[in-house]
Amino acid sequence: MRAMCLVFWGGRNAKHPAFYYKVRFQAAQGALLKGPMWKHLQDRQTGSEKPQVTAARIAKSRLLALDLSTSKEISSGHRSGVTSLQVDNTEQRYLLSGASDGSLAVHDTQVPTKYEQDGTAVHERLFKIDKRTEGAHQYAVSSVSWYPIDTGLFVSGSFDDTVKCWDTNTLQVEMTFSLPAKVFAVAMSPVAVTHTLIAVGSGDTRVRLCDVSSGGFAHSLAGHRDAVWAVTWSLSSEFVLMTGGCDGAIRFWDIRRAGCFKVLDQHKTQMGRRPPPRPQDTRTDPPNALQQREGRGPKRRGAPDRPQLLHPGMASALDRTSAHDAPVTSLQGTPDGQYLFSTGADSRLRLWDIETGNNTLVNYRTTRGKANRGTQIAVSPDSSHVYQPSGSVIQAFDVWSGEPHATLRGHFEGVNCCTFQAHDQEMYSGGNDRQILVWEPPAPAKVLEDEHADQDNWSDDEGKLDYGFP
Amino acid sequence: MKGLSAGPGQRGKRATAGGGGPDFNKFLKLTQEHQARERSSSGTQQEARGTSLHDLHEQGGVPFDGTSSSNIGSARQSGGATQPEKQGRGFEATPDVSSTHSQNDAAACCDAGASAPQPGAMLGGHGEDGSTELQEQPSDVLAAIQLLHSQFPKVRKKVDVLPVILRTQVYSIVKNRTDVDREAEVLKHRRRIRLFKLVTSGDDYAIMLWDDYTAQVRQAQAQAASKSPPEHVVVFDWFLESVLPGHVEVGISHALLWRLLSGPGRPPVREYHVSLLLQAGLLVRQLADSTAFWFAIPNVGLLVKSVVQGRKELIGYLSRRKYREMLHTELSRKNLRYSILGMRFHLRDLLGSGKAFTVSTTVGPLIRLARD
Repeated sequence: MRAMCLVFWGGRNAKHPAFYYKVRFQAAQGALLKGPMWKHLQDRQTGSEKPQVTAARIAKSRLLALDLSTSKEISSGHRSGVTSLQVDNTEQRYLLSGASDGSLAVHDTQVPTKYEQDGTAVHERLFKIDKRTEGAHQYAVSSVSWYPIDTGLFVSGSFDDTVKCWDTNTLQVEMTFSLPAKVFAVAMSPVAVTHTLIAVGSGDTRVRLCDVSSGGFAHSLAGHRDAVWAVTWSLSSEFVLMTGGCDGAIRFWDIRRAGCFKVLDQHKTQMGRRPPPRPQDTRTDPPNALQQREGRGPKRRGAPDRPQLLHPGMASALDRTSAHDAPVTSLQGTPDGQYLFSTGADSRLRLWDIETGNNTLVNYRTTRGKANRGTQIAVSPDSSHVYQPSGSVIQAFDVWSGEPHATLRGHFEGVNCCTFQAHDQEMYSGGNDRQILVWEPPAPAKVLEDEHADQDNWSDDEGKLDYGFP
Repeated sequence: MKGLSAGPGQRGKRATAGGGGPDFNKFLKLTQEHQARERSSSGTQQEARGTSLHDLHEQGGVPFDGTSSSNIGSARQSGGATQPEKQGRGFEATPDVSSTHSQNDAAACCDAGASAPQPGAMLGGHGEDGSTELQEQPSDVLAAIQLLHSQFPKVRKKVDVLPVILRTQVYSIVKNRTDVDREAEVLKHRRRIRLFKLVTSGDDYAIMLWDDYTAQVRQAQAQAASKSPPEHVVVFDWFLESVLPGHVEVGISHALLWRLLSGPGRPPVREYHVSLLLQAGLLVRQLADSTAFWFAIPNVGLLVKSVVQGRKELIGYLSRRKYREMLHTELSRKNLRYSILGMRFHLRDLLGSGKAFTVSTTVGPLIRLARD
């Protein structure tokens, strides 16, 4: 137990007392060092608590203490505002960033390039693609995405009306898709095993699906009435795509069928979480879209009671239900695939139940949502907190109560995007001040110094406490 | 719980009796009371609410149903100590509420036609058992709405409209916005309040008490009766009988409106019927969707204009101050030029919308504009 204390409270190689105070304070905030913690550790020691539970608890406490990193910085090579960030899906290691000067860069978030004098780890870019590179984007990059299977390929969408696929090793354009208007959002499905489609939201009303394997457009999904700023794939089904448009609508598409199968309605509500299905509930198929939509859409004036004889997909195209009263600026599913966050230029953040399509009526105290293009919000890996850029700060909210949990200040200008790195509970954010900032829980106090690392650990001298974990 | 249930009426009365005194103190006191109550009973109450909502979902196939409200009431009264499954059974044992409530669905209500129970009966508060009204609804949100209703500025001379409350004002009294939204949803389905979308900006909603709104409709009907033939004016009755209780949302599609208006034993609905409702200001066309309408309050134009301009004026005034802040006592003495609604109305709106917040100082509360 004493060794544990030292890990958290610092050994004899003490830093400035204020540092420990900070660690203690923040850790206490995160319930890390509250009384029960020791009990839990003891439970873990005796085996009465499962390792996952302990891990989840520690992850949670780290998450609650998230703040601007003092020990790690990413030296952004961008000369313009950072518009989009993504950490790769395979290793959670490489951070891909796009900027509004048309440049793209990749940073290694695990291995620093160098250390500053004060011990700060600096992560410089691994490479950068800017206008000097052949085939680079001419205008701002609006959205980037890693190829979900490996890091050999990545995709970028730009205001120069193109979507480009890049080879990470040769830094050459492998494929270019030309679209009729500015590209606002690109997304690839992280769970797809049977397709390699890039969903593209653009200034055009149609959402295009670009097929990487064939180099052509596979689908064009019509339904939105205005530009599409937000695109995301479902995490539970590889065929389900969710898009949010400037008309305030959020549409769900099954790419195997024609038309969209669900349009989210802000006035269709449920109270928070959906209860788990009871065993006696027999699972029924979702009602036919034709029946579901009866009573909606225009009908001939004389015959209000005749059922619509439109194809379900076509009927849904006429549905003008809105999820927001202003453009939808971002969509982000929770990692468990059950809920969906959407933000709108009406400065609202909404939480939707994906299964039922209902608004869960959680009211987040958001203040600013004005936007002229999409933003990127982040959800913590355990789906407990949501982080939304709001002006030059990032607001953190508790997912189920909607209460603001923290305001992360660090950027000097508007924040455009933030994304989570799930392994280490780290968050990265990019803003118009050209910075990529690292948000992480405060580092635990160091116990061992390097010179003692190879010494014996069983010293009987109590003055030289040198415990460490085996 | 007893005190909570008896709360709304008493507090409302006290507030009206107080008149134009230091209302802000009252408002603060109310807020503090509310918070203290929340602190003291948070555990049990939360639990009670949790189970009731759970039951609510189990109760009906529909995700959200008016039945919830009574369930919430009962769960809160019982102190929240009941087991979930027990409570479920208890709820089934009171069939009168659940059975009458199933016609939340517009179509069901329409089919029921004349045999559908009166909206009042569904509320449980308007019938003979009016005494149980308060015990059934220990809602902080309703209490707040009633307080705001009683303190609505006296504008009857200028605008012929009954008290209209902004949702942001409720946020300024009941701190938990999620609770406000959810309870407002419940109250809406219980036909206690009516929500309206304001065309001011993205996310503005007005709240009106159900009875006030029906009174407004009657008034509009009386006005229309002098100009239009009675076979046209009858549409107001249909509106009150079927449309309002049958559809509690803020907007309605043309087809659904048509279906609700046409009931058994009624002459066929014509386009002029709908035109009359539009002319009376009970419906307005949605801009985004020409085939749908918003419900609206007649004669509310000047009020909405006041809301928008007063809000702008107040924010402009505060942002011109050196530190974007002002003592509440000083601010409340100031008159707004472009609004007929008065400073208190706008302050509540501002505080509730999160654009400003209060800081307590030794000389009283200070209103400060939010930074971001």
